[in-house]
Amino acid sequence: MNTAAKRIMIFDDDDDIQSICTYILEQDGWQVSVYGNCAGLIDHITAFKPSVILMDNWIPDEGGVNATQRIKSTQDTKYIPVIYFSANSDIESLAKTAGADMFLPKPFDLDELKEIVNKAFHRPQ
Amino acid sequence: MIKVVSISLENEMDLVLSHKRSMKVAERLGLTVATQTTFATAVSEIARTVIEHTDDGILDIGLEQSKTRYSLMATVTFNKDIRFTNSDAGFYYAQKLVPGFDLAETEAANMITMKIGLPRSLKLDPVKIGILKKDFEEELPLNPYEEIKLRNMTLHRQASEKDEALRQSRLIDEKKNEFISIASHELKTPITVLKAYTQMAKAHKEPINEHVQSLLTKIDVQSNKLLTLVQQLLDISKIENGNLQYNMKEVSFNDFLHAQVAIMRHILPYHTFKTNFCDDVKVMIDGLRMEQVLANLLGNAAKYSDRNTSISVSTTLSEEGMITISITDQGRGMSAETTHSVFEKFYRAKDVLKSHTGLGMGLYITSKIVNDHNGKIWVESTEGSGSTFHFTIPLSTTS
Repeated sequence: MNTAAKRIMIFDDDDDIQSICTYILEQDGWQVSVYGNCAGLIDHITAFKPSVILMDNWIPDEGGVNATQRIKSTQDTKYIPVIYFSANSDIESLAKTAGADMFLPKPFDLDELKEIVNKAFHRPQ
Repeated sequence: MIKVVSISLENEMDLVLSHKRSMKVAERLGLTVATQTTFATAVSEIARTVIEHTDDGILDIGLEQSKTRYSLMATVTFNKDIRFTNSDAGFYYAQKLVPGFDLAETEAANMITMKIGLPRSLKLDPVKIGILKKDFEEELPLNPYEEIKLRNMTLHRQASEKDEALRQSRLIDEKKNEFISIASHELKTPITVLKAYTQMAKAHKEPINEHVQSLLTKIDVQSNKLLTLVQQLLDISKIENGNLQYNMKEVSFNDFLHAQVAIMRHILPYHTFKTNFCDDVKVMIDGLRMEQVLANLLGNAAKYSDRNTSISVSTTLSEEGMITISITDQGRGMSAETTHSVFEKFYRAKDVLKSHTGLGMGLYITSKIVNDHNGKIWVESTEGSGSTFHFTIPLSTTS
């Protein structure tokens, strides 16, 4: 069982997706931090110390694959579970290339969102 | 230069042509026989030297105007890697023959230019040159070799025009598919948002009245339809690009089918589903793609049959290591013509065009997915009494 705080960082440039995810996850007891691009990615992550990261495939400026690869190759951030989410139907192979831990295809059911985020949180480290 | 004649320099036969054509142009211009011969000799010497080295040289003969005076001119263009020196006899000799001789080396090719100034007494003008040019264009071939050569040139030109047209149409096709791919992706984001807000409204803490609740359900159903259409467009563009990808995994097929039928019972509440499965087997499938196949076939079964009728899903094993899945409805059935064409892209039967909406994408994609699983798909149907769609998939080799 994970005893850390439920802190999640969301990287997605769509305002509505940001507000939907924030609304749903805050209701579920999460502390949410949202970014619309990858500027200062690693610094933001090490400052906020999330227990889960949600990463969109088309995030400006570098794209989700590259951003996830950076997270997974940085000592301080590589153990944080990353959930890859995208409307791209090749999401599974994209998530694999990125080195993400899980993936969530868009459109998603709100319960699916809560479920996968909690699964990532409780996943054995 | 105003070109009058062009000859590709490929072999010795072209030497003869070069000589004869040079003589002829000089003759038509009214030059003396001595000058005709000088010019033709210089041209054919250079042509010979080029032919000794390469078969892609080009000889152009024509006129150059400098203020009011004209020169008879010939250029020979050839591969830039070939260099001539005065030890090349023809190259050396030609320089002595004509008053104007120049070798230019450029990025693309090397070019030798030979010029003989024309006497003022010839009184050339653009009209006369135009007539000369036209005469040479229309002149009959000097010999059978030239005739073949001209015919080859025409064929070659036509072939390269065709190649260019093909390249253009491929490019347009690629652009179209790329557009569909990006557009479908862009369309999915608003659908995601639409579905999420609908769900949020339905799950609102304060109770909402039944009417609003039912409107929200309708929005949700329509969003799902929109999503399916967008997904199909995306799939078609992937099929055309040849990059529909599969994540094959081994699954217990009966569990998989039971789960799919359970979902479809929920989505299609007005039909009764009957199942009759053979013993469980393992198959290698892409679960999401196979789900798409079943959703399409069961969805069609419901779409083209009346409410409260039944849809049966059964499986049988064949000796060839295949499992056959059969989906039977009690619907309107289809004509023999339709059964032949129903798996074609964008095909829609005439009799359902007005009664049932659709774009004719579903069965095309379904058949592609089944084929890519090394299976087969076919349909049996009787008009007025229903259809049975069958498809096969190979059993996993480990089972």
